[in-house]
Parts: sequence; C-alpha cells; structure tokens
Amino acid sequence: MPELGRKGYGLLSILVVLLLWELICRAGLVNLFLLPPPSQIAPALWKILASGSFLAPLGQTLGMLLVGYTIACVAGIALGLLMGCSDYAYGLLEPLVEVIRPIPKPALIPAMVVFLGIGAGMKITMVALAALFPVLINTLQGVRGVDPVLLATARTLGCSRFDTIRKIILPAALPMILTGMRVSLSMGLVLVILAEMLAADSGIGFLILDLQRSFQVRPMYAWIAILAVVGLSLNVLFEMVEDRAVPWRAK
Amino acid sequence: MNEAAPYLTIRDVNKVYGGQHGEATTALQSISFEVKQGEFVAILGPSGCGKSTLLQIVAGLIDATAGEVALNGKPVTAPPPEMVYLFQQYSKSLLPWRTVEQNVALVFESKGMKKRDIAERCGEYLAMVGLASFRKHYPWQLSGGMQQRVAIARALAAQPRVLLLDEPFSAVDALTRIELQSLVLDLWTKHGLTILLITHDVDEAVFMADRIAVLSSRPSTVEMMVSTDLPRPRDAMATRELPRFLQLRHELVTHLLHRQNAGRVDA
Amino acid sequence: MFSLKSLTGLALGVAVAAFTTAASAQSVRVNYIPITDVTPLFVAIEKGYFKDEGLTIVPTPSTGGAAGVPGLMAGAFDVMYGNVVSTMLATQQGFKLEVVAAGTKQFPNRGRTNGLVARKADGIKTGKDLEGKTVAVNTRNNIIWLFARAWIAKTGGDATKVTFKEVPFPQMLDALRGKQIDAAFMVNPFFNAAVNDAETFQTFASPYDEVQAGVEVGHYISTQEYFSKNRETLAKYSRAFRKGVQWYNANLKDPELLRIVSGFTKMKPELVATLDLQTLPEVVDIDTVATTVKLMKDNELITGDIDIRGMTAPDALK
Repeated sequence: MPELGRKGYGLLSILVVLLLWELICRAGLVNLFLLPPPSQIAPALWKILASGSFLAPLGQTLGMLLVGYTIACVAGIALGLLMGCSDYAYGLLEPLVEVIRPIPKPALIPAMVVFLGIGAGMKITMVALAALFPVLINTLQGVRGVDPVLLATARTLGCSRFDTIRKIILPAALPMILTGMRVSLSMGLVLVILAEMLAADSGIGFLILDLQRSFQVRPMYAWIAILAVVGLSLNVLFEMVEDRAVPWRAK
Repeated sequence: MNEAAPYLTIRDVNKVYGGQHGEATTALQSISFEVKQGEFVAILGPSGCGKSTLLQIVAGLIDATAGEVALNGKPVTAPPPEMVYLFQQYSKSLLPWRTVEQNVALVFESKGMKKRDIAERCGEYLAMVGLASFRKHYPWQLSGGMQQRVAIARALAAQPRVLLLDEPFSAVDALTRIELQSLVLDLWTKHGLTILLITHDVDEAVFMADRIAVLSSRPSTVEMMVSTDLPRPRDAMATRELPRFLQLRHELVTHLLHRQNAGRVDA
Repeated sequence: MFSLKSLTGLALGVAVAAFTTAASAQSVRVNYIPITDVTPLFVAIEKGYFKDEGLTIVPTPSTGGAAGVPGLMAGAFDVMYGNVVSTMLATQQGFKLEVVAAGTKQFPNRGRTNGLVARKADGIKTGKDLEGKTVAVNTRNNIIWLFARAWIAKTGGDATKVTFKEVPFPQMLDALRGKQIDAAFMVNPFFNAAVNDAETFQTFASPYDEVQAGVEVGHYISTQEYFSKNRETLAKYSRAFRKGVQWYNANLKDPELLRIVSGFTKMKPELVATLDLQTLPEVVDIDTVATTVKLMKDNELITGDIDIRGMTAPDALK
C-alpha cells in the first residue's frame, strides 16, 4: 500500500469523495437541482474552460486579489517591523491593531461600499484590510522572536542598528512572515469573492451569485470547482516560494 | 607590553536581578580583578554562579548594577569595537541563512569594501581556523566543533584586541576539545590577543591560562586568583603531565569539591 | 448553567415541534416578499379564512423569487410568492414548479404604485442618463431587472453599461438617500413613501407601463411534487386565499386593511394610509404570462418554449 506515496493517497481520497457524491446523487438521496452530480458538473466545467470564458472573470478577481494583497504585505511587514523594533511605535499602534483586528472583515464590506462604491477600489481595499493583519501580527511575532543570541552577536560584532534590522532581524523573521503571508493569501481570496458577491458587477464572486439567481446550478458548481483549483494552486505556489526563500526552516 | 598598567579593569562589579516586583537576587557581589594586555585569564566557577553575566558585563552587552569595567582607561558602557564576545550557544550565534563565508563577511559588509576583497579576507580568516574548504557550506551542515571555529573566525575578522569566550568547548567531544584548545592558544599567540575564558573544567583552565580567577557561588565574589606559572608554548600532552600542572589541578579540584561539600552541609 | 439533560430535552422538544409542524397536513409554510402585493395572504390569515379551512399558515420573508426558489426546492417552505421571470428561468433549468395562485397583475397605473426612483437633484430622465450609474433591483435575473433593462433599451440607453446592484426592497430608500445607488426600481409600500418625499426623490419612469402594458408580475408557486402530493391541502389553500383577495379588493381604504399592511411591511400606519393600493387578480391570466415569457425570449433569457398552462394548477385558473 505505501507505494502510492503521500500525494497519491491525497488524490485517491479526492476521487473517493467524488465517487460518493456521484453515487449519492444517483441514489436520489439529494435534490439534483440543488446538488448536481459531478458527472453533470463536468460538462458545464468543460464548456467554461474550452470556450475561454473563464479567463475574464478569473483575471478580474485575481487582479484585485494581487493588488490588495501586495499592499497588505508591504504595509503589514513595514508596520510589524516598526512595532517589533520600536517600543514607542508598539505602544502607539498596538491598541489600534487590537481593536480592528478582531472585527470580521466581511462585516466592513457594507461600510466600505458607502465610501468606495462597488468598483475596483472597494474590492482592493477589502482584500488589503483582510490580508493586512495576519502579515502584521506574524511579522511582529517573528521580529520579537528573533533569538537574543543573534541580536547580541550583532551588537558585539559592531553592527549598526539599521544593519541589524536589515541583515539579521528581517531574515530571521522571514519564516514567520511567510507563514503570515500564506494565511493572508487565503483570506484575501475569501474577501474578494465575498465583496464581489455582495456589491460588485464583475468577477468570479459576482458570477457565481448571478448563476444562482438564474438557477444555472451546474455552471455555478463548475465555477466553484474552478475557485477550489485557484485556491489550491495559490497555496502550492506559495509553498514553493517558501521552500526556496527559507530553506533553513526545517534545519 | 607595559607590565605595570592594567589593560582591562573590573572593579566592584555588582549585579542584582529583580527587586521591583519580587525578591532581589544578587548574582555578582563586588567582583574585582585586573587583566594585563596580552594575558590569558580563565574564570572558573560552579554552574549558575553568574560567570556568563560577568563576562557579558565586561563585553558591554548588559549593565552592571554597580561597579565599573574599564578598557584601556575608558569605561565600558556599550560593546566596544576592540572586544568581541563569543556565546556559549555558538550555533545559535551563526546566521543559518548565510554560508560560512557569508557569516564571516558580515563583519566586513558595512565597510565599503569590494566584494572580491571581502571574499579574500573571509578566506584568510577561515584558513586560520582550518575551514577554508568549507566556505560555501551552511552552518547546519557542519559539526559542533566546526561551527565553533566559524564563530571564532568571524570574531577574529572583527580584529578585536580582546576575546571573551563563554564556555566555548563544553559542548564538544574530548578530542575536538583538545584540537580547539590548541587552535585558540595558537591564535592568541599569533594575534597578541587578550583573552578571558569562562570554563567549569579545571583541566582546561590550568592548561590554557596565565591566571585563573576562581569565583564562588551566588552571590559571587573572586575567591582567589591563581597564577599557573606553566611554560609556554603549552603542549597538549606534555604540559598536562608536568608536576606543577598536576599540583595546581589537585589544589583547585580539592578546593572546589570542599566548597561544594561545605555548601551541602550548610544547606 | 444549563445541564446537558435539560439542553437535550429542549432540543428534542424543538425537534418534535418542528417535525410536527412540517409533517402536519394542516400546516402550510409560505414564503413571501414584504411588499403590498402579498396583502391578501395576510388578510386571509388575519380574518381566519385559512383557519376556517383547517390550515395554519407559517409565513417567512425573503428578498425575492430568485432567492426563494432554491429554498422551495430544498423543502424549506411549501408555497412561495415569486416573480414570473424567476419561475420561468427555473423551469427552463429543469426545476419542476407549479403555479397555485395568482399574485400580481400590473394594470396601467401611470407611475402611481411602482417605478424607477432617483434623487431629485440628479435629474435623471432617460435610459441614457443611467449609463455608468448604479440601479438597485431586489434581485438580479428577475422581472424587475428584466423590465428595468428593457426600459433602458427603449429610452436610448445601453443596459450593459448600467450596473445593477441587489438591494432588498425595504432598504432601497436608505440606499438611495445614502448615495450607495443612483436609482431604484421600487414597489409599494416603499415606492409611495419615496415619492411622497417630493423634495428629495422623483420617479422618472414606469417600466411596466412603458415596456408592456398589462404584465403578470408575480404569482404563488409550489413544487410540482408538493402539488401532486397535497392536492386537498392546496385546494383549501386556494379557497381561503381567494377570499382574502376578494376582501382586499373590496376594502382598499379600510383602516383594518391599512393595519394589516403596516403589520407585515413594518411601515408606519400613517405612511401606509398614503399608499395607492391597486386591485389584485383572483385568477392567473395565461395570455399575459405568455407575453412576459416572450419578452424573456426577446431578451435572450430563455430559449425554447414553456408549457404555461401545463404548469398552472386548475384552481388558479377558474
């Protein structure tokens, strides 16, 4: 049995779930209009992929995600670094962070819509808001968690404060920063889809809701499948980046 | 070398922890001794007596509660460029994302040197510790002893006058320890360094040092300063068999055992 | 706080109650949109017409037909008020629905009971003016949405350049006031409330009238499965409901009616008194439904034909 390998088993379990799904539908245990079987979703999926009609909404949504995510990472790392290295900055910003962070970001969408309307600006802002905090918190913890021996070594070797931050604190905190960035990526995807569903006129989230409104259930599920693949790919890509950027993580 | 003027003075250094929220503990109680330039002084004492604390105060890494450390007449309030402190946890002091060579290069980087020159200098220092062929390796690929050498090479690259070694050899095996001890003595002679070495190993203290400061347990004081009076250069086998070596060793071990037992009886 | 035993007891009690309610042939769960179109339902409840037939109605609100149909299919309720467009879209996708009672038929009303509303200051007049702006509909892909788009096209605008945002009817007024949207296709009781504030709002179009006079807008549907299994219950339902419609049509200005409307729309009675209530049909008019279906075909919402008569219950026709 072990010949399959870990990845092989993962694939197998997905196939088993799909099979069960198909069987449950065929056995008439669910209302087919609410949960169509994979065999009906697949042709709809194929149609979307083959016609290339998936490219525009995908590009839209990913574009928003990317812009908002980049803003969040830059801001999150900068603020996390600042708060970690300066007690003054920490004292100043920490209460603010602790008030805003626990607010479920989807709850802010209606407010943002009032300020920013329903276009790209709102979506990007929502992604940025959601993605900011995991990066910030993880950067902060990463910075604070730098081994004191490393910091003292920097001092005894005569490194300047700036060099210490640049050459020792940042690289040492990098594993935690990347973890935060990975979490943020998932959260950003959730928020952009949600924002598109609640108050937008384009993108994957909007499309899924629209298909539901016109009861095109199978294409709707096909798009959900596409979303699942997108989410998975983003994660895999990120892990590849992580492995290359912090190879010493496991050592 | 000026025999008379002390190079490094430690006067009435006192370190107290706590006191604000709980009970204050005195780690160091009025430590005083002097070190001449070019001397090799070992600091010997039981675990937990505050040897590392003392050495870090000398290094300027932490502040004393009272007392003063002066290097060449100037008080030490922050890590001076002439001094480098080497941590007991040497593997933690190496940057794991940099190669061996890049770790040493850290010292040269903000000096505006060309990349080629930096590489050359790093090569020199690594050669001094016998690691020239490992420059492209990462610290986690090296054994403990080799990692210690990297730390030493890096410290030397900073061109210090004083090296402060905190139990550098306690975590390596016996044979590696002998090799490293010889290496350190070698470098000490070659570069005219002043070295303070913390150890709990009597053999090591006697073998390596000119003088030994024996510390008591907390609150620590200098119980005695002993001159080793052994000929240099020291030899790993021969020196250890000299009568003076054995006698000193005997005295010190007896003293330490006695104090330990006395401590037990009193407690 | 609560012991496990008492919690279990509570949970069991709730489950039994729910199960009994769901399984009892005397109980009918009805999903509705809180607009004046469904007043007869509440009249029939209040005046005991359903009780006389031995039925208990359990009403639940929704934002619109497009949102309600999935719930209907999932068995969350038995009958729902929805719009014709959503029903036809669902039928095309293979959902098996049955029309059990007439709902709303638009008689020409020259902008007295529903229409497109905007802020007066913006001066919007034509479909072209709406290009690049946001128009609120209760849900997309329904009759409101269809007719708004048709009107925009008819008055020289490109509907693809207009953004349609989903806003529940009760929230359209605030959204308009708060500038979250530029225009809204509103219905009563909210339409009259907006237009009565002549300083702030103005109605500039009556899409139902201007696109197609006489539109079968809404009706009550159930699944064909429920229909075939509960003919007796639905016959009782039809009778009671019909009486509600008749009483409603005869008492449009009666204070009791106003009170009922105020109750389920949550609007103040003084405001309800200013409403222009129009009469509601007792039977389904197949021909006007067919006209709506044709409009959907023209707008490429559906392809192929729908057997309207085949999916309408006989009680709804006679």
